[in-house]
Amino acid sequence: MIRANTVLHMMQIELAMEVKTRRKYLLATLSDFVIFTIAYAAVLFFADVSEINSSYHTHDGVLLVLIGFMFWNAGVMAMDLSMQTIETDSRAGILETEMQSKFPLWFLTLIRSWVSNLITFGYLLLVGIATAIIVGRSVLTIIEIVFLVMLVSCIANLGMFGLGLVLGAGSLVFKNIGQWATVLQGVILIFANVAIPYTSWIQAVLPFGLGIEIVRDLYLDQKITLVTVLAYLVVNVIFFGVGLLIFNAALRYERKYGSFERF
Amino acid sequence: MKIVGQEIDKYYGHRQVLYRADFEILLNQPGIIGLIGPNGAGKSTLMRLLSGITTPNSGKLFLEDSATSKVDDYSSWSRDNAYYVPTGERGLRNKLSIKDNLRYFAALRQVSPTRALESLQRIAKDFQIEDLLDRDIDQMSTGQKKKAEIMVAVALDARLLLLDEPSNGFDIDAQVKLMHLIRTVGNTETKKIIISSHDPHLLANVANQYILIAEGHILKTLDQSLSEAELQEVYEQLFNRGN
Repeated sequence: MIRANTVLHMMQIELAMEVKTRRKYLLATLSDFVIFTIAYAAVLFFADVSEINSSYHTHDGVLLVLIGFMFWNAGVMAMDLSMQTIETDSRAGILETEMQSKFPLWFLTLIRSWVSNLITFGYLLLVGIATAIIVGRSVLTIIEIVFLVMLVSCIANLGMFGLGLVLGAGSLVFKNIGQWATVLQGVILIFANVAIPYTSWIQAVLPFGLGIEIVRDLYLDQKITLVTVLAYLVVNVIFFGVGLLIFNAALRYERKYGSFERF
Repeated sequence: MKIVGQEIDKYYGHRQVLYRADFEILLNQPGIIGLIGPNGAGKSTLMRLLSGITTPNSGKLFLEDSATSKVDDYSSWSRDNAYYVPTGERGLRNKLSIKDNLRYFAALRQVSPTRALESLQRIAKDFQIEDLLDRDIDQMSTGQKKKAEIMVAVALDARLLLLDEPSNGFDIDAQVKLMHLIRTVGNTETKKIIISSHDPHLLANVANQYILIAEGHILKTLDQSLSEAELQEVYEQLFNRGN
């Protein structure tokens, strides 16, 4: 069993290393943020804010889109990370060293995903403040929203991480799974209740679908049902659990039939 | 205490790379084992198995207490005690310095970072490359990267150190220092080093036991030191018979 102080220590180490690495890959880090900002602008441009306003009986449609975008952004970062870690670390030969660690590989990847999410929320705060200035809302409101999204999205990010583990399992066995993660991100963005209202139970099956609704309801002072909260938890536990099972099975297979070095 | 491999087969996909390998590695006596054989012989495969990164497809790999004959699971032992340094410029995070890499991998192995860093300083002094400790790995030459990998591995203080082609990319001076480092670590009471190499000069200067392997078969194990000439002769006899 991994103790809480071990988790904190690993997060501290990973955060220090990640910040150092990102500083050295400054251009790549900035380009990631530029791409996400363009995606956010596109989401706002194509979002039917008036439909959202009428559906949620509010005039804060833009902020509700921002909530959806934050969930999507943090979620795809968590999903991407589990796959990318496997691919990049295998190429660099670090995966072998990480496999000789006292911690399971999925745990190390999860720590990295949490650290990456912490950094992402710094970026999301900036995007939020820019949105507040543009739509004329108080910065305090935005900080409140970012805080709520951070809190509630922890659960969704576990589910998205599980989805990423399935892709990571594909990377382990097939070595390179191409752009499937990007395709999946795009499909999720189109069908999820990010820029559109929550209209179908299918959106609830996505890891962050109900999370978005919970934060939107909290922001709008609406009642949240216990069923919504439980369904949100169950969906994400299933995604995480299934991802973990598939990833560990792929890892066992690769340890038995592979060498981890053929990248 | 010894590591025992019995009739180990290993496949990569459908391709068999190790055939019914039998070996014993005594852990409670210091020493350096030279793993020698031509390209594609199965040296790296055997090292990966010993590091616990991969598992055998069939056969047994376990730990046996020589006094009591008590048998232990190898996989959990290797996670705590073995450390594999891959061949080539692999194994460290490129955008981090040697010190930061050590901090990271020490955390992964739950080794005291203070002790590991002290050990790193000592090794760097021996190698005369203290000025490299804060340099990023991607700013180093091939030989410097290899030195960095070995220094991190030694500083992590594993009981079983597996070095895959450690002298590749080294100049003569660095090879001499590498030999000295390997001998110093390998002669420590609690340490065992296994080195795979094509370099008879390196092996003859450090190893006191040998495992000779070709085409996935362990051909011979020798429990003695050999001079470079003797090693060349054994190699010619075993591997170049058809030439």
